[in-house]
Amino acid sequence: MPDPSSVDPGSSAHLPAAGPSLRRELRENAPLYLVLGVLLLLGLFLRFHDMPGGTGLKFDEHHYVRVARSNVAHRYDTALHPALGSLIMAGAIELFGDGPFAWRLPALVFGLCTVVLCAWVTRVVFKSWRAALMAGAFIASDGFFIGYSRVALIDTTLIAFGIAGIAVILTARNGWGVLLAGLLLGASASVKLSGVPFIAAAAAVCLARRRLRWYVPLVPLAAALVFYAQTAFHLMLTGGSGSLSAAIAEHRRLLHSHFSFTGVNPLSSKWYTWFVPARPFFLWRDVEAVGGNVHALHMLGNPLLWWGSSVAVILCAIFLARVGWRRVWRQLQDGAPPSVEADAPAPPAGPARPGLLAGLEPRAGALFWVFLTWAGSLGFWVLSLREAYLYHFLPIYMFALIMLAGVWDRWYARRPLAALIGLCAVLEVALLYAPMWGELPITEAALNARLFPFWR
Amino acid sequence: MTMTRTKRNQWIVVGLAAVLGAVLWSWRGRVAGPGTTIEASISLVTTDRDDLACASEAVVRGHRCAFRAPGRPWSPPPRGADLLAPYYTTDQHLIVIAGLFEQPPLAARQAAEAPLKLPRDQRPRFAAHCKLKLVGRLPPFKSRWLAGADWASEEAVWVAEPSACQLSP
Repeated sequence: MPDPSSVDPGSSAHLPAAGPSLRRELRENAPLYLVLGVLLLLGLFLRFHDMPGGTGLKFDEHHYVRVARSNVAHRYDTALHPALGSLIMAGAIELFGDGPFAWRLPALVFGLCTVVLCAWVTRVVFKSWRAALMAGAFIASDGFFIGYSRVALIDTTLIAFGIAGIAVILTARNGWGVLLAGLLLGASASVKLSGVPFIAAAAAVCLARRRLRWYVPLVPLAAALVFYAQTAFHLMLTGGSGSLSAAIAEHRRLLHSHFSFTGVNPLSSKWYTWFVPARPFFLWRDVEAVGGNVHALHMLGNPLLWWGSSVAVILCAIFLARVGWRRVWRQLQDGAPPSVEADAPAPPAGPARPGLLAGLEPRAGALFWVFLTWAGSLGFWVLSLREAYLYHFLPIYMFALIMLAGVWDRWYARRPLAALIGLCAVLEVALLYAPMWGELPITEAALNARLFPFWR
Repeated sequence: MTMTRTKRNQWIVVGLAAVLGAVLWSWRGRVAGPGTTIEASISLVTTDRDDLACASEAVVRGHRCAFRAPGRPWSPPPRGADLLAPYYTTDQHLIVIAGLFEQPPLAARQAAEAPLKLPRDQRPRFAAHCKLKLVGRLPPFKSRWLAGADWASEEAVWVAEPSACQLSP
């Protein structure tokens, strides 16, 4: 029998996936799906508008394009990060020629994949197509993700591999799933080392789950294999040795260059200011010589989603604490139930708990993993004790938005009108900030009017 | 009945959001766009008519460059009034103008200087003050500043139709 407290008549979890029920769901909640659809379309438009853009290199593009060109020319060049991101860009240059299209295509493709993958993880965690669609709409229409999908940087590659690995490990039923997750997460860490916390989170999932416990070593081993393979490939491609010792030396040099960097860039900020955010900046800003229009690409996300996602993280933390570690641990051992209905045998439900997330108790284990991955990604920067650029918040924000989608779904189930008004507000803010996310023409005055002085 | 009212309220919210959204979407200040007319001065010598050229596959409101790509002329070639060419304004801003030398004062100056057959560096430089109506953007293209010279890459710029040109000196 399902846990009575988990039954929620408004939840799409109780509807068959297709057919008349799906049509009824769409018809009954048409305003909601219309708003979500507009958010998705807006996100697509802002990603593709005026792409691939000009030949002028934006923000840090020159680092990655330079290394990618060296890879194509079989010439070694000192890179800032593990090689996979630049190797993928080199592949695009090899296929499409050395131009803006090839430079920016990987970021665009991986950025789009992130939208789908986040929706998938949300579906897995909350067992709700509506929450999944909300997560997709949030990621699609948020300027932080749009900005990084429009430039030849490797951050969307990092998060796409990361979220793919997390999706796979959350649904893994055997060693093959664990192996695939390890490979994907190894690819994430092979783009930037800030993907390492994902590997730790995946290993923790295996360790907790009875069925997967024996496969725990597969996660770090598969990840290490990918990490070594891409390093060796890069070194051999550029005329070096692909031996293990050469790969280790390469990464020692990389780590040394990171740790020896002690300067504080005016654009960097402390991790705890990222929740404001205190120092987002322009990835690109160009003033048309004739006409005076400004074309800007700002890394700022949708402020409502930004602040709302922090509230969602707090709500999820409180919810998990209220569910209790014992019940969460039981779920972690058993893995995410395939559906709310299949939660039997449910532990005694006790009195229904009030609260926005009431009814999600059977999903607490899955939610815990999202929360843990969020905390792990943040912990990486908390422990580093250094100022860093805001773009390191991208994966942290991604997991926070997944939690926000789950919370919003529950909100909609209880207070549909209020939740819809909230979503409309998200859409309004997205439309307001769209010009500086998609490089649409705008005047200097109108641009500045959208930004606090410390956001300019 | 309650359901109907709830649903109606939801649609009202979405309708209001659409109206407000349209306002927010278009609130970008007085941006220059197709149809905007500006005034500009362009620094020229009469040989620019044959020297300056652009290469692009793009057609902007019927206007085309002389070349599809460097060394590959459009066939048939664009009419004089539709021929695009790159120019620098006197304050060093790049713009692509359609049929600038078809403007009567420039055509007259061209006709007056042509019989002299002076080399480029001996021809007097002059400025054309024109009204320029922006009609669209030319995507990244190639420019040539002297017949027979190399082609340079340029970012996207505005395409303009000239009118009311006056020359000085």
